Amino acid sequence: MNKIFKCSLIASCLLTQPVFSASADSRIDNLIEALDKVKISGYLNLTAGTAKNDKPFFDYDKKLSTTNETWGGVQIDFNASENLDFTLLTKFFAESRPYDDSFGVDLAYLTYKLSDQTKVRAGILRVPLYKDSDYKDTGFAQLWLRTPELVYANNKVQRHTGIEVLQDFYVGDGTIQVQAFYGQNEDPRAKASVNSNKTFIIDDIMGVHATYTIDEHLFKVGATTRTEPGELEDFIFVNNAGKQRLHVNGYYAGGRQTFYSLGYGYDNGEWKIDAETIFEITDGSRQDNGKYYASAGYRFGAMTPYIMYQYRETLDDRKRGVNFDVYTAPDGTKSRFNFQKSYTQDILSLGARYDISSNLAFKVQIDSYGDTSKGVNGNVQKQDNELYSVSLQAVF
Amino acid sequence: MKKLLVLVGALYLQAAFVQAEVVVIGNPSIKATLSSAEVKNLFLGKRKALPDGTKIDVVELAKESPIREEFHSKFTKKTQAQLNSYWTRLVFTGKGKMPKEASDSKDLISMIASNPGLIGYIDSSEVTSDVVVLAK
Repeated sequence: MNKIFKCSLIASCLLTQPVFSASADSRIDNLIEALDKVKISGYLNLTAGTAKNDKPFFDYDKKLSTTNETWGGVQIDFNASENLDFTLLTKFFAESRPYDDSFGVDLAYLTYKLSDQTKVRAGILRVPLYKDSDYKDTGFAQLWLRTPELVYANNKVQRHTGIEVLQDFYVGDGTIQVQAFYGQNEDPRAKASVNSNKTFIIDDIMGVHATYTIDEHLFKVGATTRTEPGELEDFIFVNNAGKQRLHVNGYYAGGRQTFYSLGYGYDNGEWKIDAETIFEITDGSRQDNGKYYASAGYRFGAMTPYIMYQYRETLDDRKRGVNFDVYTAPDGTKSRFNFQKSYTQDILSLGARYDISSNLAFKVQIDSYGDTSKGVNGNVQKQDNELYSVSLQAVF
Repeated sequence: MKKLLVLVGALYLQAAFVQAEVVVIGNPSIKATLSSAEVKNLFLGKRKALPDGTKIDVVELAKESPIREEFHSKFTKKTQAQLNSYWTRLVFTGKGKMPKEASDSKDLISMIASNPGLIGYIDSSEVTSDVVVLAK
């Protein structure tokens, strides 16, 4: 594909030359040399899904949707010199989503290779929160139809603008890669929540992750932290009745959230096993979460059936109650921000991946979802749903 | 008739037995032999150098080549789809680049003969004096 693109580009340039002269030869040589430094890659996910009932489940309901999880990306890598690369990843969605354009730059960064084992990157970079979250949108790279969303979703920090260092250490036949990063990211959700012109910045996004790979095993441990944007006053707004109120984001303003992850992967060409434990710890009485998943798949030629179980729970339920988290507006009205004292959620998924060719896979997945939440007043709510999805996922 | 069948069968088995195997090759300037684990690490981008510190880039044969499938089945234990999946993770996280490709074994030998930092793989029957075998 890359070759075809380059040849087409060269052919186009030739056709635009009115006179084919000797100097044109050198220009073509220069063009070929320049294009050899460019690598174009891409991915596409075409997913259709429908839920058993209309209770919310990953934005699906009973109506079939082909747009909710259909998206793609095109990445251009330019090898500027022996040690310097520029990478640009653009992304597009079939369905526009809140606070994210349907097309735009996802990542853009420079990579400078200090040595074969040390790289420094700067620009708009991915936040490596969890074991597979760096490439969660690139479906073909994963066994599953989608990453374990109960664990990976609900995360508004997908990228940061900053710097990171990647350092490899060779230990016997294994490799330890350490990734340390620091940056910031704009939070358009905060801006939209109070219809403000102020730019809200998620500050101090930083972390250290280490991945140890040896033979068929992968172990990953990581910690990432960030500071919620703005101050409480930024989130006070006047509602339609002319009363001052505090948006829920104001309650979190300035708070710190830290993510700890411990992951394991095994792939011997036949068995593929993954497991991960994640703890999200936050300031104040916003819920701390424990998230866990485990999956196993076995390859029968081009077909790989798999099973996955995900579980999520709140960890600090004693911090929430009827008299907690209350804001009193100037007119005396009280607002409470945490109506949920605790909740647990789980998903059991059964699926299969079929590799149609070396860069195209068809996947099918059934998810059975259960959710139990307990309100601060003691009321208990339960809901369940099922999701049926099929997907074509390709890379080039 | 039975003897003839046995003879043909024996010849067929012998031919299969002496059939060449895939070998990892490098420039004659490389004075090393590689273990299976080292070959795997190099061809999966986990290592960029030989144990003695020599910088190495790997070259794959074209995707259509049966030798490529044989090599990966033997050393990395991955199918072409699994390899694409693996490299996709590295490429889209900026942590690795897909290896260069040679169109055929002659092209590969020519590339390796003129560049001491490259290694690749071919069928052992195609090994020439321009390259040395590093692993089999």
